[in-house]
Amino acid sequence: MSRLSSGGLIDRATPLAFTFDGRSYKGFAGDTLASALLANDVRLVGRSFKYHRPRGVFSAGSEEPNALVELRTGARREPNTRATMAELYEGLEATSQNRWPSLAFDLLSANQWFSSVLGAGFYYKTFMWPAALWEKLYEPAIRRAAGLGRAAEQADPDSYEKAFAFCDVLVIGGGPSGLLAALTAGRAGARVILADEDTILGGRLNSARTAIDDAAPGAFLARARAELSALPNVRVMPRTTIFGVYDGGTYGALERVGDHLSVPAPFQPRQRYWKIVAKRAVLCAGAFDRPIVFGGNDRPGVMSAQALRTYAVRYAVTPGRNAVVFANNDHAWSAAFDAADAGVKVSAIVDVRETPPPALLAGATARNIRVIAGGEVIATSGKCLSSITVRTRGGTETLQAEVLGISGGATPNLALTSYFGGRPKYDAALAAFVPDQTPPGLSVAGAAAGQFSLAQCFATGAAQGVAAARDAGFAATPAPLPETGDTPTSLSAFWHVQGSKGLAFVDFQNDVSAKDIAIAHKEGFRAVELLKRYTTLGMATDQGKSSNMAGLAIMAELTGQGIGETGTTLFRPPFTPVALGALAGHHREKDFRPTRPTPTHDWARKQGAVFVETGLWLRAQYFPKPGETDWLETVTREVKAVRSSVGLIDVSTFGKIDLQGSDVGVFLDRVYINTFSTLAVGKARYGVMLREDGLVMDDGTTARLADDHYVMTTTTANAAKVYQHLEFCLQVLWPDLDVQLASISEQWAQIAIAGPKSREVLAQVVDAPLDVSNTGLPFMGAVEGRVMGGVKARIFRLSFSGELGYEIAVPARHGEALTRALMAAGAPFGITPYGTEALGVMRIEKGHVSGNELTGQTSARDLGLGKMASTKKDYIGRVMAGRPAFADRDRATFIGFKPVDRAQRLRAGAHFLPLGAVPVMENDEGYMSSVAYSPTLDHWIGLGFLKGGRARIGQKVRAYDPVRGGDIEVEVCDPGFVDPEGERLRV
Amino acid sequence: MSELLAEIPASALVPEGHYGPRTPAPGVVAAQLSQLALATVAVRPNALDLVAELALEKLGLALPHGPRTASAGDLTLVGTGPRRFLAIGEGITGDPLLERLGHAFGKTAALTDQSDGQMVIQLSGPRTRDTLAKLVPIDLDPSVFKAGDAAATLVALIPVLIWQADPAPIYRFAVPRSFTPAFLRALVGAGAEFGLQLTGTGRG
Amino acid sequence: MRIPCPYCGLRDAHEFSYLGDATVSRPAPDMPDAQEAFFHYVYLRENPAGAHEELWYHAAGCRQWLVVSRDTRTHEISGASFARAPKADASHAEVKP
Repeated sequence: MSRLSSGGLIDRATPLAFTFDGRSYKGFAGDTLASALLANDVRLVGRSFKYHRPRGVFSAGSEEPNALVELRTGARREPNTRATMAELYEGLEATSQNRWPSLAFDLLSANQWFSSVLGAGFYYKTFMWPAALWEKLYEPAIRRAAGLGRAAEQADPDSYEKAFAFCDVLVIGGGPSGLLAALTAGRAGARVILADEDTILGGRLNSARTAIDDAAPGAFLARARAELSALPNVRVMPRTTIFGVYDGGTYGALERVGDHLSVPAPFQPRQRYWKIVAKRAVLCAGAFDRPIVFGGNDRPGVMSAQALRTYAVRYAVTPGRNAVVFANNDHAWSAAFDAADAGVKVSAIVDVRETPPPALLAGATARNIRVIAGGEVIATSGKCLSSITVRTRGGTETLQAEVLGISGGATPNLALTSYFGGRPKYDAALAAFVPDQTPPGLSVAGAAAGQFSLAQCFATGAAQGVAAARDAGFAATPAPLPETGDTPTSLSAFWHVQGSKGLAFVDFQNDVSAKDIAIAHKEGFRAVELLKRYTTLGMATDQGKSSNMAGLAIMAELTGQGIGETGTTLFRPPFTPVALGALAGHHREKDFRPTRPTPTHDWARKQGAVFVETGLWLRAQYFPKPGETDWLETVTREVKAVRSSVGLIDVSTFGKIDLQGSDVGVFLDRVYINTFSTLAVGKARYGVMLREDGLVMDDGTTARLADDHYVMTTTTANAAKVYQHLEFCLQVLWPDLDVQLASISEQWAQIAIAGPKSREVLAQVVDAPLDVSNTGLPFMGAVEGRVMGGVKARIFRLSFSGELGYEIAVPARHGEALTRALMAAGAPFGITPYGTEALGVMRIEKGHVSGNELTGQTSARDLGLGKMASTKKDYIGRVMAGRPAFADRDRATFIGFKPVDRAQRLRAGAHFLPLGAVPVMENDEGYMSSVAYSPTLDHWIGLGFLKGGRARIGQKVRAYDPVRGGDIEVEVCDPGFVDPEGERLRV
Repeated sequence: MSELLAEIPASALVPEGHYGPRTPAPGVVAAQLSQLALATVAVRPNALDLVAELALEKLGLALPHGPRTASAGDLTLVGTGPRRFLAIGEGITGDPLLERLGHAFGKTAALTDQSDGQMVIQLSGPRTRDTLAKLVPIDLDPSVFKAGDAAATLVALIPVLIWQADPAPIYRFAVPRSFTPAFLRALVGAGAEFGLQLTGTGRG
Repeated sequence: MRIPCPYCGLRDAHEFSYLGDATVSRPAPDMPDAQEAFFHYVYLRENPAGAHEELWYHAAGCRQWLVVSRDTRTHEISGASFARAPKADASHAEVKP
């Protein structure tokens, strides 16, 4: 065990058992998987992406490139989980990734011996030919060899949800600057949200022993946490990562509600995706300790110097028996001192600087740490690190070391500042990019702004807290700054040990080495964006948080340009990976989108209806009866019942719009191609609406109930679109018209009955004195009255099926009762409920256009409706519909088809070709839009668009359908297959 | 999807009952209200001042300015857009409501019965705001959205009208009839964490 | 994006649908070159990098058509007003930021 005997923020009273690769271990509450593994001397935790090199824990935070594991098992198995962010829980099961047959002995680690050919651009260069081999050979082989964890193969059993939050000031990160910013804004009365990806607030203060106000940092942290949780206007959100910044002060956040539990608590989601809207935000996300590039810098046991400190101080773990620190900056020394003070044996500090500050030298002496100034680590050895080779002016020397804490300086965690395209600027004194332009409303404090010392963090956090609160309208004064001895640190820019031994890694996760940067340079991929894509630098799941900087610096050295001129690639959200399940939230499976049942849904279900989704609606598609073997048999029975007697269908899904006002007639004349101002009260009319470009938008019937009161119906699909269009016309085009709209789609259930017996059925449900005789309610009549003994109703004599028909509208709550009443009244006639399929068959038999024809590419003339267009008025789309191409005789227009061999089946989507013509686009004459088996005619019939249209009635063409292997002769015919004169409607 | 809802058809109202952990008192009480009549009131052009006078005179009601509510006795008007209101009458049906509004406003406003088109769902209980935070994309903090405030917005892809009926707080939603099953699913999924009592939707 | 609806207040852009340039207006249908004018009205749009006046419909809110001033480069929205000038009724429109 490498657990120190005392210290740390772990709860030694709460031991937790867990397994890694099937072996059992113990840790404590407060551990991460990474700290618990290190405490159990597990230093090899994974294999790298490309070369399968053994890797250990590098960091102690969300930037972790190496320690990726599969967490949990079965349906909850989650690949590529950073062990440094996985909180330990009782029974945690983790498995290493990308190794076979075992982590310790991995056959594909042989890849690394071929690193000389597997370098940058390897895939581009190697797999160019023959192309046929790509899918069969290369890709499967690469996919097996490269890669990370395996996704679960079962559906995720956990739930996820979305939530919304609003605040004056959002503080991103709860370290020293974030605490001061939140305290300052919170005390001023602003609504504050303080979000931190960690379990506990404090950031680096949880890992440091630096005195604050002459006491251990824990005392300050306890005060700050207590005050923040006592302020009613402050909301602290731990385990919450702000992963994106969006327009208008909107921030995306992921709260890991149940990730620290084996399964989420009952009725709790696993994760919650927050949309936070903040008037102001302060980014206090700290900085990353970046690696130095040298041969063997990826060996398990090499970690960042600050991670060494964190494991020692926060988790009371010594990550190896003998620690050496290799750095170029003061901050790494204080990490070494804290680690040593916590009980880690730190034997040496190797600093590339010839003369480190005297205070640090004194500190090292006091702790009996040997200092090698002006030294560089040039090699490492051991499967897990056992020794390092150091080059000094005097020569080389080998030191025993199980841990090497490396630090090339701090890289501000400024990703969020560049999500709006803001380019960070290079600060040579800090050897770091610092924020320049930030998204509107976002400012930066602390280490994220390059203010690395504790004192600077406190000061800038408080100052930005004041500024943010003031911008949000609150008078604020900075919170008093805690006293700390931590002063600005110095460093000497240093990136890459020249002439070291073995592969020197820049990007650990994507196995990009210094040599790859050199290849990119040599081959001309020098601009940072090209460098990134050619080498994959920074493109792994860690997005190069710790690695990018050294890559840019090495390229800058090679080109001779400065780092500032070389620049940096920009960051994009999400800051850390976000599960798609979290983004979907509630909207999955049955709740993927709302399901809208019709008013008669329950009744139809009890009748055994098969339902179909039409948009969000669920409609009865057909009503199979026992003994019927397929849908066609059912639909055929339903059609025959309507044509011979009477049938019933729920048409409530049509859009229904109430129009009232003195100008409704004028208005309708302007939005329909035909005239409605002259429509008599008590009558309905079929209307066609165009878009302004002259193409048909929608059709439907509109009835006039009173001089100043009309009711419009739209197709189911276009209900919302038509309403929006009408509002556009009224608000934007003709704001002076006196027309008031109201959607009544939901208010009225509408049941259609059709068939020669429909009047007899209807007559039995209407209340006196309503007269539904042929004279009382003629074809296209519309009346208001009562049905079923007092229920108000609107009755329209309309027909889509071609039979005598009525649509009866009643308030939705009565829809089912009306249906039952009609079924009872129609029982003597064998009234048959029918669904959308039978409706579709009958409209095709009648040659009516529907959704398949109203494609948004068809004009009224194309649809055979050109004669409806009034020439006496202007209307939307009139001028553009007059363009010559619409009148071209060769334009494909609406017409009917039947197979020459009546036994053959038609297929919608088939294209028409002249008989004998080769099937090429030049010979294309149109296509079949709708087909049905006609029970009335006992053969397949079709509707479609054919060049020349009606002029070709009687001709034969080829219906060619290569997708489904169809190629038959069809005869062009009138689209009115059944009762073309409409006599049945008027009986 | 919450496991709670896995067995309930997406097309059916979520049955009344208790959802979530058993606590001494439910965190959220949701009730689908009946005995309400609803109508849209669309004021004709240039008639708003007149309608405001008529509302005061005939209904004893100050017409709400903007997205707010105004109540007098059993009648509430909710502002839903410029010159547009949703009228809600408690304890009556659509026809008498329309009659009453017609009597008050005459030809100055278009009236349309919506009593069957919108379901009204009421939320109360100590965890109401925590539940609403998972549903409503607007700021319902009491410093921003107060009793008498209203908003038309989108909840779980469903167009709704929400208003705060009481500082307690009590909120009400008007939800299009066909969207009510989907709305209840989202509501129960969000509120179950706090213990949600649902009434008024039947036994399923 | 968040759009300051003059009736509803600041709302997420998800509640709105977009139409486009608000500065074009429907030509008189009986003008001599009506077809040419309509061609321009229907199809031809400037594509400015910068200030843009555009029509948005608050579909999930007050169902009003708005003219929104947006900078196409930054998505910064400097204001929104009703496409229908509210005239005498303006007094009853509560305008939030």
